[in-house]
Order: sequence, then C-alpha cells, then structure tokens
Amino acid sequence: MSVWRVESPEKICEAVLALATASKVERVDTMDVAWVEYDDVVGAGIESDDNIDGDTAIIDLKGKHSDLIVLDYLKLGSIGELIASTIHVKKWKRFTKAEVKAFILQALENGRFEIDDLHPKLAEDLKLSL
Amino acid sequence: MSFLLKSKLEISTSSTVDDGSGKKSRGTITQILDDSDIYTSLLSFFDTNSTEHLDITANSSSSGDPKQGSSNVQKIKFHAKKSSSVFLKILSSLDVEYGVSNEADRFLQTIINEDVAVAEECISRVFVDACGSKNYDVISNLLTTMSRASEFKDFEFGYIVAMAATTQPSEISREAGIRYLENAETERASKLLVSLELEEGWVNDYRNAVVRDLNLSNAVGSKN
Repeated sequence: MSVWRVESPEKICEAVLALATASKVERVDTMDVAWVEYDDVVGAGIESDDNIDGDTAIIDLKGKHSDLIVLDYLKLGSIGELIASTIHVKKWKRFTKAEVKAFILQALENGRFEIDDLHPKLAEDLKLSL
Repeated sequence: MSFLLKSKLEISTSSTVDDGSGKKSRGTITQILDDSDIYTSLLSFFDTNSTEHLDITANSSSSGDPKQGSSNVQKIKFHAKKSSSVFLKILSSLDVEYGVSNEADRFLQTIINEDVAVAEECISRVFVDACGSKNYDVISNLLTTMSRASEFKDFEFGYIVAMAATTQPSEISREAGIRYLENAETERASKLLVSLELEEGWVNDYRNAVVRDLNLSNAVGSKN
C-alpha cells in the first residue's frame, strides 16, 4: 500500500502535490486526504519500506514515499481501523480542484518539476491556466 | 512524523438491473459484459443493431413526418435501454482512482460518440434507477463520470442531473452534484451552487469553498 510521509499535518499539501502529479494522473480533481500518525502505524505492527521512490513528478518528494508491506488480512483490517479512527477525529481534509491546481502551478513556478514530466493530458490542461 | 494514506475509493455495491427488454436482449448484454474489450463490443453492438445514425431533430414539430420522429425517439430509447443496463453495472462496481480514466469514462465516451441523445437518455435511466434503489454510490460515480466528459461541460442536461442529485437525501449524492458543478467551472455553475439550500456541515462547507473558488476564477477570467 502506497503512502506519503509528511513532517506535520501543516505540510499535508506536499503530499497532495505528490499525489496530484503522479504519472497516471490525467486531470486535476478535488482530493480528500487523511493522515495517520507514524507511531500508530508502527504500533499496529505494520512494516514499511521507505526506500522505494514514489510516483510523482516532484523530484524532491520522490523520497517521501513509503510502501506498507507484508499486509495480510489482519493488518489490512488494522489499517482500515486506523483510517476510520483518523476520520472520526477529523484528521482529514478536502482540497478543492482549484486548491490542488494552485499547488501544482506554484510548484511549477518554483521549478520543482517540468510540465512535460506530467501526463500529457494534465500538462495540456495546465498549460491553459498559465 | 505522520503518514499520509493515499485515498482510494473502493465501491462494492450490487444493484438489480431491469433492462425490461426480454431474454434475448439480456443475452446480448451479457455477451457484451463478458468480452474483454467492452467498448469495442458496444460499438459493434450499435453497428449490428442500428442501420442508421439517430436523427433527434426529426422529432421536432418542424421536421415534417411525425412517424419518422416517433421512430427516432423509439430508437433512442431502445439503444439507451440497452446501454444503461451495462452502464449501471459498470458504475455499481467501479474502482475510482484519483485523476485516472476508468472504464466508466470510456464507456460513456463511446455512447456519446455514437449519439449524445442516447447518452442523455442512458444517463437519465441510470440516475432514476439509482435514486429509486437509493444507490447513492452509483449516483456519485455517474456524476463523476459525467463531469469528466467534455461534452457535458456547460451543458444544460448536466446541470439538471447535478441539481437533481443535490436534492437527494444523501450526503454522498449532494456532494456529487456539487463536485459536478465544481468541474463545470462556469458562472452558471456558481449561481446554481449559491442557490442550493443545504444544512450546516461538511457538504455545505464544500459548497462554500467551491463558490469561493469559482468566483475567484471568474473574476480573474473577466479581468483577462
């Protein structure tokens, strides 16, 4: 299971940016994200592999990716419970389409990626906004 | 340090499909579903079941022959009934991944390419069926799929379905209607959103955020 690491909930937009610029992503859309404490993941006995680069056009975010590994039904259940409890205590946020697009355009302006690194359809869509 | 879980909507619902067209046509639909390339199958389905493209203008009062108009409406309903059964099944078990096209997108596009009137009738049937069976996941998936089809951007039919979705007794459905209007990115969509009467809560918060975004976007657009 693919996850992104961020230092604090305030930095969640970095994870949104990573997700929104994955190679398969063809369009900007509203995005819901939920975050879980690292200690809670470890506490549930879930292992992670932090050495697999994430699928994102943002070079400095590639290393912020982890895979949750060795997942059996029990651990998948634990992850489900973690997500449910995190949503219950409102550790989630909705980013509108315009907000996600603004993150991407800001990152482009800051030279964190080249527009041609995106999916061609997404690149075409964003070029219209420039 | 926190972990951010990539959200992925997984929907597993079942829905009774009544195509209402007898055993023979059910068999045809099953055959389509069993094929690996469902879109090619749908195209051949249209090709083998229709000898001409549909002419919806023939139904207008100025078109002359009323029998011809009636015949075209029947053809539209016939094709829509077939395709809506397949579309409903796809939407009922759709795995939606952020920003990535899926089989519902491709299926709807195939129908649109064949005939927009059939696509509208097909969507209407799916929507009514989903409302009747309270299958709000299907409504959400339907509106997401519609919002991704450029043909339905700033299209009255799309606005009507979206507004109808916002009247349903389900936050999932209301959210889907708002999301459709968000994707339309038009001044009209913004006005429709403002006109919605919603209870306090996350759906209302979302609506307000979208209205803010659209007003900003339209203000920038009008300056340029």
